[in-house]
Amino acid sequence: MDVHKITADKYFPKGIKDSIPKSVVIRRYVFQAIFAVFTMAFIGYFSHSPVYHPIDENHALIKVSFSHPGERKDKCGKLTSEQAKGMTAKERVRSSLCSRERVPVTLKIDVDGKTIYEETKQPGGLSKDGASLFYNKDFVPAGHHEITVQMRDTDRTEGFDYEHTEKVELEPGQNFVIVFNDEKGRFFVY
Amino acid sequence: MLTSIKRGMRIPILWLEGIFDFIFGQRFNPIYHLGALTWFFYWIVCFSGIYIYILFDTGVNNAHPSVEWLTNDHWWHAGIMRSMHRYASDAMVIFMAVHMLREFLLDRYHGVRWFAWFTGVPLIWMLITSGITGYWLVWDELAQYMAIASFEWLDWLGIFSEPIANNFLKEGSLGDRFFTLLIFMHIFVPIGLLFLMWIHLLRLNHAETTPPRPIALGAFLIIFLLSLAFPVSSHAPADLGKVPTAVGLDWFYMAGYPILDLLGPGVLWVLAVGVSGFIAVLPWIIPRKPHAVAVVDLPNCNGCGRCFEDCPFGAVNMQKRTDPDSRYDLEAVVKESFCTGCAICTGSCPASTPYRKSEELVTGIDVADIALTALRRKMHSEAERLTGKTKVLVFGCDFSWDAQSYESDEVGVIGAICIGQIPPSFIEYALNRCGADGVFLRGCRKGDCFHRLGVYWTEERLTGYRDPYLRPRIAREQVRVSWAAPTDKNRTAEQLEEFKRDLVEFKAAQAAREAEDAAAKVKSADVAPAAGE
Repeated sequence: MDVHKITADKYFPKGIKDSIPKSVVIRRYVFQAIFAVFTMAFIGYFSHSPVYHPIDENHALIKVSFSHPGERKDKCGKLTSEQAKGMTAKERVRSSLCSRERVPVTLKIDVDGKTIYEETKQPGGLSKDGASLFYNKDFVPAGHHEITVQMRDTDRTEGFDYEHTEKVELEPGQNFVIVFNDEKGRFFVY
Repeated sequence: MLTSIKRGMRIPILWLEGIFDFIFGQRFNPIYHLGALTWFFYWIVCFSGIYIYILFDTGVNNAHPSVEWLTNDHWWHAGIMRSMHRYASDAMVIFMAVHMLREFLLDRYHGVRWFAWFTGVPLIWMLITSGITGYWLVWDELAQYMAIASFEWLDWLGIFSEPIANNFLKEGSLGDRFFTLLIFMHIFVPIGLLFLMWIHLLRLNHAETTPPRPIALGAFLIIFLLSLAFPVSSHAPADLGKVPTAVGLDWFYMAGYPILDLLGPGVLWVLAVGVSGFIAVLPWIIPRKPHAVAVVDLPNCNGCGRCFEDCPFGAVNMQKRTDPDSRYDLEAVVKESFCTGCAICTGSCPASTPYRKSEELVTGIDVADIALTALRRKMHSEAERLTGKTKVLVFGCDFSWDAQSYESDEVGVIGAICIGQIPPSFIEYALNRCGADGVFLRGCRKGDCFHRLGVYWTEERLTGYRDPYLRPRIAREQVRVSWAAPTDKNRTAEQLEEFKRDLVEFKAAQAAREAEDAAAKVKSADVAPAAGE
């Protein structure tokens, strides 16, 4: 007898084969259909519902994003001829070198006279010689606003080095962007 | 505490599986093929993705119009493909999540099985990333919201010199070059996902990557019909001058975004990395009790390679013989760090025959927890104990039941590590030498074997498809199988009672047949001399 030709159903009429009474078969198909519909509904619904509102409908976004280097911490100046007197060229260069480190930059945003953002960012880089990075989002009610942006990038303790004020009519859902252009040395809004 | 939660949830999941057994039958129960179904959905996603990519325009300004064109103007092929791409991706997340939860609850993740579990964790990240990068390509309001939020999340790490999110700052910021990078991400991350899926299965022998055909057909139909009934649509085109106020998130992939908005990027990083890390180290947090591993006995190993073929975890390798006097070329060798101690190799070894006369039964490969010799001893002692009218010896694996509860004067119970540990010759021996009227095999539900393949191999051995097989001369009426979970205790008891009743009938029929044969023999003996006269 070639045992490899013996099928499980023939060999084990009870036990190995799933014994399915005929009366159960229709019920099984019904349940399978219900399961299929449930799965479809589950996937179909949660693949795009419920709707999510990242922002209130009557709000606008004020986004600030730019990088700006503060001024160097130590002032670098050339030696006077008197100071350089008697020094070799190498000594002159070395004594005129100053630290690479930059001062932190402070940014402040006021909307209708109320400060919504104020932060001081350290310069980037291991030697703290890079730019300070600003990225911030604030949601404000849509409508008419006076927005003032101020920035300090020197070692002064009071007041700001740059300031920009803009009267805007923010629409619901508007993305109002504030950036600082290093080349032109001023703020721009979009 | 985790162990208590796990135990508490195990019973409901076994009940649920039982309900699915009723609806689909054990052989085609989708719960037993969750991993394979995830693979199947991956291929649907791949095929449909390649199809729609052919029709997709990769320019940042053309992406949305081209998606709209293929969705609306060519809905009957490209639109359906797009919907299938989406829904099959969603199904992947669901099946992967349920697969992971089930493996956890049923304790199939620790000990030497840590590898598949551990490599499954980066798969979650890869799958979610694959899905998210795909949504960017439509370049609609949803894509805009997700892309900005995703890169803000990455920027929080502070590893980039400029925020990547600046690419989406205002209208005109996003160029074709950066958009092409996003497209490449959506191609290469899924390829990486496939590679990782392969790694995930490396320590599994005979890993199932294709579900049985009826299940695959059902899964395909669900995705296809869903695509027909609810075709996927896009949001309005992205507009960087505006913030999307309402987005229909795909919650299977994007549930993290509201958390990001609510709690900030730092908290989401802590949650994502913390939860993933916790899941990844679970095999070591809840260690499994130590078990013995398979040991090869060279004098009894003929290097046939059946254990190598049958081991579910690739723990057995074949190598050149190390005993120089042997007449065989190969020998089995066990990689201990891969061995779960399931003893399926013992059941496959041709030397695992109880007919040998030695006091201690030593076979080619054995596991000390319940060695073969202990099984034979137990079989003898149980058979001797039986005094009832119908004697049944039950072999059952430790994972599927509480063995002792079936013991009676008619039923003797022999517990095994896995039903695949029982060589078919033991069934024959129980019937011929131990005086049993029948042998009842009880293992885990089919497709749900704790040691993966024990039930499959047992069926194949019994039906003659796999060596070593049960010899044809054994009356199949005297052998019965029951593949069940601990929650099926009553059903198994009923099956056992039914088996005993059938055995009584079988014995009566056999006695009648023997009487008929004897009568025929006597008759032919009476006739023969007469013919000779």
